[in-house]
Amino acid sequence: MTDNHELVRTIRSRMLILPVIFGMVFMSVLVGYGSGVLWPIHTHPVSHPIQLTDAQLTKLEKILSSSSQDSGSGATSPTSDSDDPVSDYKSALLLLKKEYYGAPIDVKKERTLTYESIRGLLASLRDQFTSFLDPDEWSQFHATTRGDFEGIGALLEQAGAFTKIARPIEGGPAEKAGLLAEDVVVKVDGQSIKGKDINDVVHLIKGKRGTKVLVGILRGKKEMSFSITRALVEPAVVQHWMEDKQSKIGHIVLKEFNEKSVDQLQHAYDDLAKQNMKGLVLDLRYNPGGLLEVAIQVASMFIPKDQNETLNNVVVFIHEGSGQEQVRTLMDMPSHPSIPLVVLVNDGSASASEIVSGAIKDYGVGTLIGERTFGKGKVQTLFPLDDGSALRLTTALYFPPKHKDINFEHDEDGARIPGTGGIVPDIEIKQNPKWKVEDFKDKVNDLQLQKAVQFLKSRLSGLTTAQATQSLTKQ
Amino acid sequence: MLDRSFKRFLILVICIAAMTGGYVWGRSLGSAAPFQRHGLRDLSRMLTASNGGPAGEADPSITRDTASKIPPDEVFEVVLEHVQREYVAANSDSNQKLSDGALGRLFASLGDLKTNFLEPGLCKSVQGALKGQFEGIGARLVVVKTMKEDVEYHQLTILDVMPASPAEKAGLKSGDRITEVNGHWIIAYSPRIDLIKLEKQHLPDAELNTEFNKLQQKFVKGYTLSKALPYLISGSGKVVNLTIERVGQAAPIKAAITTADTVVDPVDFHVVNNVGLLKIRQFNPQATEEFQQALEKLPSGLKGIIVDLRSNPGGERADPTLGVDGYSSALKLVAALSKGGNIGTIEHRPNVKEPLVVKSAKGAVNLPLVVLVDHGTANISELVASALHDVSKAKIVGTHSFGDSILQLFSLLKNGSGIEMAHAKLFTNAGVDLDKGLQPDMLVPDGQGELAVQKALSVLGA
Repeated sequence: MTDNHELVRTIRSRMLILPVIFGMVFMSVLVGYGSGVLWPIHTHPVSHPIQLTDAQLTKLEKILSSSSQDSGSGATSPTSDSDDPVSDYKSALLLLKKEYYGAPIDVKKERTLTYESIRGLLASLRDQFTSFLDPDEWSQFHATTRGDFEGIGALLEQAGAFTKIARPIEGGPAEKAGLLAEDVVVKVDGQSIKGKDINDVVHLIKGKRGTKVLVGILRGKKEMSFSITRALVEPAVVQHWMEDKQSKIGHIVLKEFNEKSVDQLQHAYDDLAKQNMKGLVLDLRYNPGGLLEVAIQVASMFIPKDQNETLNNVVVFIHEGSGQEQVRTLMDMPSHPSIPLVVLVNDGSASASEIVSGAIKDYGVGTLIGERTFGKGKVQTLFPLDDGSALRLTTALYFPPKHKDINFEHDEDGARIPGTGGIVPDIEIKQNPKWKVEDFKDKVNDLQLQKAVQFLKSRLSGLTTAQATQSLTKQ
Repeated sequence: MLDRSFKRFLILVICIAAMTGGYVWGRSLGSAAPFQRHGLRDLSRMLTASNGGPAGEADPSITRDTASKIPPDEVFEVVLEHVQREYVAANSDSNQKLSDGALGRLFASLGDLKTNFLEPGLCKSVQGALKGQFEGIGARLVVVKTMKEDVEYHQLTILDVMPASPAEKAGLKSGDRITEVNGHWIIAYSPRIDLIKLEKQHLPDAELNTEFNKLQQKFVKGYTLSKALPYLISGSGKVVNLTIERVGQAAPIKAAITTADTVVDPVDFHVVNNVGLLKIRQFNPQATEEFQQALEKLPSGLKGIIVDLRSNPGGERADPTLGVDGYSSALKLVAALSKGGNIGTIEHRPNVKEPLVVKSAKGAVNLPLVVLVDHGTANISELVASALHDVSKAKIVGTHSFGDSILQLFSLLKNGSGIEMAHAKLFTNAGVDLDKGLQPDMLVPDGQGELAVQKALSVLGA
């Protein structure tokens, strides 16, 4: 080879190299892009968290209560920390695959075993609000939340072999069509429902809004038929009336803290104010809670700002599991003239109800009457996972303005110990066991309500809170 | 020349780097492509989240198809990460607790009475017991499944009481059923059964409510088997109160037992009337060592050997390093007392069977044999009895044996916890399921131990 040849080759190769390199890079990008589309880089099945309302939690509990709870854990004996639960789980699964006498562990079985492991892992936290929903449970949950309020708007009740209308919901399609309480349902869409379980009948009657259902009923001895267009029927969150017309004592029942609560509460309050209300009973009994934001707004409706220097307008402290701390303070809400206020609470007042009643108690702007509240100072977040399942995890604790822990204590199995935690009312009144909770209208047996009215009357007659309390507890 | 090859090398490196870089870049672009399924899914999530809808809508992009492609272990990992990062009391929850919880439920979900997860403390006790170092009441327990009127009952039963154990001192016997521990009922059947019964009574609402609450309390206060077990087989120096049901005795027996350590010498050998009496209480490596020693030094002129397997619960299979392997111990006994041969069938998975063959050991004993069995002879002890019957023409004397065909595997995990697992099912040569127990050639009623020995001696002409 001569030097000349050498030179030519070098030049040629230089001319070639750049386009070749660019070509190769381009090809690689293409190949990479393609493979990225076909086999995506696996990022962790991360999720956008969703906060759950307590009504939804109750529903979840119902779905979950059917699955068994034996975590297989006995007396615990802490030893050295295992390095990693994931590797323990993997080696246990491998052992099962290789050595277990029993049907081979296929992909489907492996999935159910994994879900069971996850349930066990969460059960070890001993937190009854933390749980796992497999894809079936999660989609079932969606189905129930969506379908719940679409129907004809009537409460049904089993009546022998048939189902009867216990009560049509005010303003619902059933009421508009003319159905009455005590009507016995005998046919749905022409099909006899004799002997059918009430749940099956409900299933037949429910359906998407806008669709029609033909309901055949027996009223006395008369057979009638109604064609009813299904609609979205939501029971009112707030009910109100003047409890004592003479003393002008109003009664507002708040059933849940949802998006509609503030408007409806405001409307109820204004209506009672127009009737010259002098005292108010805010009824939070059996209110399971709901949205945190709504609780803060409701508390702000009853607690005036800048009244208490030590509490600094705090409604609630929130401690997140990730270590963050939040302080939520009173918001600017239309102010109410301060009239004597009683908040009725009981064992069924939970979560957001406890935020409101706790703040009212700590600021001393109202008197709590009833029973110790449930004791749930916890917030859950729902994480949907990529395989169609979901994780519901307690991610924060909250505390009332005086920063007392309100969470109930639990036994070694995580079961709530009644009489622990919660907010203790200023005046404890045990309810008459004969009281029927439905609609809060069983006033004859509603001892707590009677005491609340009596208390407010004493206040309105000029007694101080302390004096009124004393006169009530003396009896 | 050197210069040129260096240049070539450099070009090669640049090309490779460029290709790799291009591939990675392209791949990341591809993965993030807007029309790609993952991208769509995230977008739809963000929309539901920002709408503030409390639970959003079911994610439409997660179809069964895509969901089933996510490996389960990744779901496990993600859940664990959330717990560790976001749970309100994450710091106080050790990995050990999370791991034990996960595996406990994993194995419980198999619904297999012979497969149990063992937390570190319990695991140590079980491992000790397999070695002959019993804690607790000093008995080998078993869960017996029975059917009565279509209802499945799981009863915690004493399989064998160890000699000189607290259980023996308290008079407990093989076959006793433990129904209560420290006043807690041991849950023996599904709550559904009581619920169905309650529904059938058609009680008025108020009564139904009280009955329902009672029922709930019964199961809430009751102990699951896994919860009851540690009180019985772990620890020493603690009083445990038991309620026991015994066949043929109407009133339940109450016993307060102080737990203690019980060391079991697995083998005892002596000569009676020119017949060797080899008692084996449990199969484990120590037993192998001891019976091999005894058989090597047999006095001459013996008329035969009585292999006493009464109250021998058997043993489990395990890695030799764990010091508990009873399965190979059992096979070695057969090898030492026979010319070898086909002793039965082992089923690794349902319908995957393999003949079980034992080769005669060096210097195997060739003497007439009698095997003593009783109700407490179980599991691989039953295999040994049946094997000696088949390959060494041993006569089986005693009562019908317990009947337990599942060979269990004992394994340790890294963190000190362990697993007892159904590993295989055993059949006799005749294809009989060992679950049915062995019918002796000569029947001696239960509780007549001396008579059984006399019968055995007479079979051997002594």
